[in-house]
Amino acid sequence: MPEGNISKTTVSLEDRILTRHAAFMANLNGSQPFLLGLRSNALQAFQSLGFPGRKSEDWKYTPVTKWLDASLQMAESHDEPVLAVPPVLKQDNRYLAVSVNGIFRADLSELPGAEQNVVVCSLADAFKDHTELVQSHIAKQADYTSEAFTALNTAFLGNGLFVWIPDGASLDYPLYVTDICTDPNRSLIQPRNLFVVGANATGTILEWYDGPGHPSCFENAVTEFYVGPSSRVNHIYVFDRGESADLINSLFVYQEKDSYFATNHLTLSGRLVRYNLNFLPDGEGCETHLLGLVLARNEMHVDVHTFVDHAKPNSISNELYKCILDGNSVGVFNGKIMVRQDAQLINAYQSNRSVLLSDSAHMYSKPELEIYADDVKCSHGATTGQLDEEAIFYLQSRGLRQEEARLLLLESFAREVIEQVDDEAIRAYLGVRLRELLGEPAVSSTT
Amino acid sequence: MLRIENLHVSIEEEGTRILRGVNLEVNAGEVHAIMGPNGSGKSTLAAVLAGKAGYDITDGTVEYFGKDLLEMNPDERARDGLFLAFQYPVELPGVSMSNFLRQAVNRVREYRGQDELSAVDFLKLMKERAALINLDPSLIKRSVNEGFSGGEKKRNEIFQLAMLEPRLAILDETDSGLDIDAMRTVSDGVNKLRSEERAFIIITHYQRLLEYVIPDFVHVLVDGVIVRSGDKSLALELEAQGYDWLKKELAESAS
Ligand SMILES: Nc1ncnc2c1ncn2[C@@H]1O[C@H](COP(=O)(O)OP(=O)(O)OP(=O)(O)O)[C@@H](O)[C@H]1O
Ligand SMILES: [Mg+2]
Repeated sequence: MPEGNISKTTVSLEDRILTRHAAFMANLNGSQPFLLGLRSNALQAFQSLGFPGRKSEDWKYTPVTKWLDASLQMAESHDEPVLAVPPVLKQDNRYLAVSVNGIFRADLSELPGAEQNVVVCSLADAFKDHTELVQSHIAKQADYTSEAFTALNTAFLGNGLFVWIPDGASLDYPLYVTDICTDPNRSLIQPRNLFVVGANATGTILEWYDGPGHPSCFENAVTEFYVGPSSRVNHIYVFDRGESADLINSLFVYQEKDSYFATNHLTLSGRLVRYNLNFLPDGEGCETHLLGLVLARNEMHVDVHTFVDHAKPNSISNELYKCILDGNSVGVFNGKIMVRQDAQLINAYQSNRSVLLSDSAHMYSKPELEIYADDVKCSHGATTGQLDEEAIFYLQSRGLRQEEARLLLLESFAREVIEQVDDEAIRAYLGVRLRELLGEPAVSSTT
Repeated sequence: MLRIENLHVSIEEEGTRILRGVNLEVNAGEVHAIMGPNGSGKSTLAAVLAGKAGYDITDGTVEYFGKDLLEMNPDERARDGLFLAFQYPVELPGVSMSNFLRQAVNRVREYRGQDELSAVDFLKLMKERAALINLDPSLIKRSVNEGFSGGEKKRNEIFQLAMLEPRLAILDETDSGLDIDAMRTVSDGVNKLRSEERAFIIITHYQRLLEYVIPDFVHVLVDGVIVRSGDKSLALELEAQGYDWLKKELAESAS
């Protein structure tokens, strides 16, 4: 019997995880010792770490166990009631990698042809076909020994997405990555992505997570990027799964010398959303761009933790996160920048700007700079405020209604981030969606 | 078109009285200049007419084309043809000039029962009106007032005026901050915009502007009251003698 028949209130989530893990491990036929070892080590790490409690400094404003309620189940594979690819992803000139509940599905995907010399497959296949490559990159950046959610994800690692852009290759069109959540129950799904980009390679990756419907999944995703020397990667991440979806997203980016990595996280809805965004520019001449936009309303809670670890000299990082908070929503930004002792001539910029649209919305913003080199330029700034009344009056005095004036100011505030999305169709869609979200009257009570 | 009667205004909450019984009538086609010492209430009068929040109207009425102006929202006033060129225009980072002006122009047109302007026609109008007052076309591509020089901001106000074609335009010290040449081009622009249907209230400290834009009436506001009205020669008198002369005269006549 599966554990589902036992009364849910008596079995803790941790116990359900352990039971599931045992079954998961027992089911693996022909798995390699490497993978088995990784999973059981990760499970052990998870068990000893436990979910972060209130005392954990990293989770100070995000008491995550609040969202890990008793009804949360391990995802079951279900019949596939809704398998609609998000309409916005139906574009020409792009590739599409689709997962269902965190499991990559080649049959639903539209992948680059062989002439592209790019590999997109399931992690399981990659372990078989590109054993050495995968083993040398998987769980290398995503340290599961110190972070419970990364450990939990790693403990069940196996069916995620693997993308390999080999040396000198470049993706001619963006690769859209999406996951369709079909479990009608409140379930834990754990997407896992590994992107290996060789030397002198380029690619644009768009991760897109929206409905359909309003899944009530709790998603614990881990994504690793290896960016080879002189490579360029554009990464866009959009989360818009609706008001009952939770997300923990941990991103780990490792950059070799002279590489360029730009990422843009757009969070348009959700309930709990937590990002752990980690960047290690580990060679000279690296460029790292971190952008983000958060739109929060009602009871939404969004926590963005970034960590840029400048290990080598002569690099640039630039960080801009903008938040618009309405209702009772809470925003957290914690931006850590480390410049190691030998990492001279670093330019690191960080800025967090937030607009509060209601008196009961809160923003907690904290820069954390640790600088051990002496020849560096670092700057950080955080502003939190309301919409400028003078600006609204100015616009009204030109004939715009008050709501139009507010919308124009908010759109303009958000545009700085949205206009950097390097995909015209997606950018246009986001513009429309933003208008729709900002123009909606705030919900005062649930209907 | 505008009739202000016995207008008393104080600052909300703190209660400081700023305007203490202003009377002013403005008819279509007229140009009125308002002068007066710093802090006498000129900008307050302009702000109250435009509908800015934060003031208590403790007494008096303002009638605009037969309607109670004070009952109208600021945006309604603007759509109905009232325009204020601000003494200190705000910067709107990220708000593009053309985006903003297109919305504004179309709101006003909608109110007048005109069709929305097409993108092409709108661009044409922008170019034409920018040329009218010699506005650097590159400013149109930027965010509203962001990083504009003091003079550029003032010129931008007049550009917006030209775009929105108001019935009553209030210019609050538009001349301050303009260089001599800019003053001339802006004045020329204003003169071109003068018409039988349109009235101007020009707040200024300097007689020089009034040499270019010749007013029909000059009013002097002191301590929240219009203490004297006359024709353009009054401005010359003030230029020569300052306000002390007026204040003294007032004090004498009061005693
Ligand atoms: N929001 C406010 N709070 C407090 N005092 C105010 C406020 N607005 C105006 N005042 C005061 O009201 C008085 C009139 O100000 P106003 O700006 O109308 O003067 P002004 O005639 O335009 O002066 P200037 O020639 O310097 O532009 C000043 O003493 C000013 O300090
Ligand atoms: Mg003033």
